[in-house]
Amino acid sequence: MRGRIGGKLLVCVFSLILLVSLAATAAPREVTFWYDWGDSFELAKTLVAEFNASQDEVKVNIVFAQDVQQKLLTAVAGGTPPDIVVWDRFMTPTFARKGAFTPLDDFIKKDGFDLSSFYEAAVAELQVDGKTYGVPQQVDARALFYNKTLFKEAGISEPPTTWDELLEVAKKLTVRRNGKLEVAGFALNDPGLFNMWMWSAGGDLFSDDFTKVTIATEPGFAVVDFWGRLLEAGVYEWGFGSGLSQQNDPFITGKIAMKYDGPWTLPSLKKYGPNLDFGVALPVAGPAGISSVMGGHGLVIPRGSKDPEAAWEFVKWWTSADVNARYCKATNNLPANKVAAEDPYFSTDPIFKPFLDTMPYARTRPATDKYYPAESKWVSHLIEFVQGKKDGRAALKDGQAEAQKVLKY
Amino acid sequence: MKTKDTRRELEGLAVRKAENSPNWRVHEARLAYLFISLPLLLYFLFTLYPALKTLYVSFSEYSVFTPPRWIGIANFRRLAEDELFWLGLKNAGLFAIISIPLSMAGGLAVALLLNRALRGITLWRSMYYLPVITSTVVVATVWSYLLNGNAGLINRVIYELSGWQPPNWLYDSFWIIPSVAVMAAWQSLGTNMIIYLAGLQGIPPVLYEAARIDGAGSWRLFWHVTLPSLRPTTFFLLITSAIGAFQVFDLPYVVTHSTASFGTAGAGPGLTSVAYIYSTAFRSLEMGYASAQAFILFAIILIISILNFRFVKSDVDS
Repeated sequence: MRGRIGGKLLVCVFSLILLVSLAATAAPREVTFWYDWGDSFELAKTLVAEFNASQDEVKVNIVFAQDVQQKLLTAVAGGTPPDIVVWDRFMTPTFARKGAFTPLDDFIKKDGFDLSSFYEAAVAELQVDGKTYGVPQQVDARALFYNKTLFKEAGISEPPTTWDELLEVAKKLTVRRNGKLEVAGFALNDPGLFNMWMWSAGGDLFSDDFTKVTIATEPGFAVVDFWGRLLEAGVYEWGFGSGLSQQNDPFITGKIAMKYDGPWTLPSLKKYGPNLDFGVALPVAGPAGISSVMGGHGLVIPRGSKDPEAAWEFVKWWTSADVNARYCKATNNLPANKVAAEDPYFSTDPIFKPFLDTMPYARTRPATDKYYPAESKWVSHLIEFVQGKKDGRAALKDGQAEAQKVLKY
Repeated sequence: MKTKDTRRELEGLAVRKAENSPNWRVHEARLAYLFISLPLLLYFLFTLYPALKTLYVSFSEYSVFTPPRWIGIANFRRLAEDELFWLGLKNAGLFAIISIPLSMAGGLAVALLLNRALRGITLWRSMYYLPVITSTVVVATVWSYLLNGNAGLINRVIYELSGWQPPNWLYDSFWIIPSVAVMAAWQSLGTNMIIYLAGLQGIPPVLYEAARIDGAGSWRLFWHVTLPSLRPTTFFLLITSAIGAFQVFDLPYVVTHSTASFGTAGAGPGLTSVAYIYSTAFRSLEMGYASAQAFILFAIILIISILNFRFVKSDVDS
């Protein structure tokens, strides 16, 4: 009696184990996807659901994760990293060189994945020391935003195309009442954009081998001299219109006539300034031509992912031309996939088109993990300069000396 | 009656006897250790261990993703010549010098006003305490709007009344820290008020009566009775505020980050020590260097606390 029951039990247990293991092998491989944009999370969720429904090999769980950089540190250190992360590309050198990501070269080779269908600079931004760490999702670049209404009022028909024109146009657009600035012709509000100004003046921020900071050079001086002329002409005052957003955004309220900005502001302009008549043009050309700074996000697979292969399947799908185009249309972004960018939605749109035209001139931030600490040094001196508390050339010299120290370590 | 008293006495004796017995002592000690073991464990795990680890990491190059690599005192040599580290310290010091006296004097003043048995006084007390429980992000955002150089209420009023254009507080590298210090003083005033209020209510009324009999007016009452009686409170507040001020992070961080574009974020004139530690650790991924900075900051706070103890505490004891 006892033995029979025991035997039955044993059979039951074994068949149960068999069943469970069968179920386990049939179940899709699950991967976690960290997505950090609140306003488009619902859209991303829909797309992920579509991917999950399209096949039964891989199941992606999308998780909303803000402050990705910081959380990733904790997750990797704790041994529970996500498998896919939407990554702000410019931080790639810092993180990749310190071993945060899985190199994708083997997957790319095995699948014959075509990186050339993406913007070259965006791909390059995800490559460090000859290895590729991610696939770009969307691209952005700074271009010249201008208020068409203010242009009409000032009798200007075309946006400026050179430094000198920029100064002239900005002067015409500037309005002062009793000496008090009312409308700033051109917003010189981000000394962090020194990089693209420097490139358009024909200079570079570092020597090619990244051993020297080279901002206090002739091209750099040309930039601060020109900024000095803008400030002297009174087309902008440091802090003017800053700290105001949404419906108070100074560009929407017509307090700022021209500025450099990226496509990420478009949704907000649309939402809070439905009556704003504005245009976008290529950045103005400096002595060495047009330049812009490119940024954007990409998908990376952190080191320690339990199933990088499954994650890679999703990365491929997410960045494919069709999905990329749909994603970017819905989020008002420029696709990193050039095939997706050819979609008439982008290439014929009067606002998107100038950004696409800027792309060939756009460069990414220097591929060194010292970029962020070094830039903070010279930016802190440039802030003093634009406030009028320091001479421009002196700011560059001091900024260079400080940034140079960063390279030592 | 009599028997009851004797009984109580006897009971007391028995308890005292039990308390003195070695068994009871051991039992009590065990219980005490049991009670403090959990906080102690948490302290070791989440305070002491990380602090010691920080000290170790400060002598290394460490990015979290790879194990620390010992580099000796290189991090400390580096911070000695790092402009932004000194800017952060200078700003934290300035912040402390402005915000602490403001919020302590303000807290005391409000506590004096609210230390009376008026109808609805608790409502007033709650109102003054409200900023303390308000999220720092909200405080920073509202104040940033008030102090905005172009559209802010404060500058608008000053300009309309006097015709003088005040500085753009949050964008001027001279004014940014004083502005943030005022915000912080406003926010922490409620905490100081509550603690001072408790201190005020602990002052025995006989002291005031005696002083009044001696002919003291209200000013002398304050100066010779209230203030000296509040010394322990003042000492406590001074030491905790000083520690807090040097560790200030959230308020200046939110203010400067909401006013900065990406490029200017890590380098603005409103940078404080902890903000720089944060950006070094999480932006540049240099945990070793960030730890070295944190350790210097710790040493500075320690020195300030010791000085406080020596100069203010001796006053309290006397």
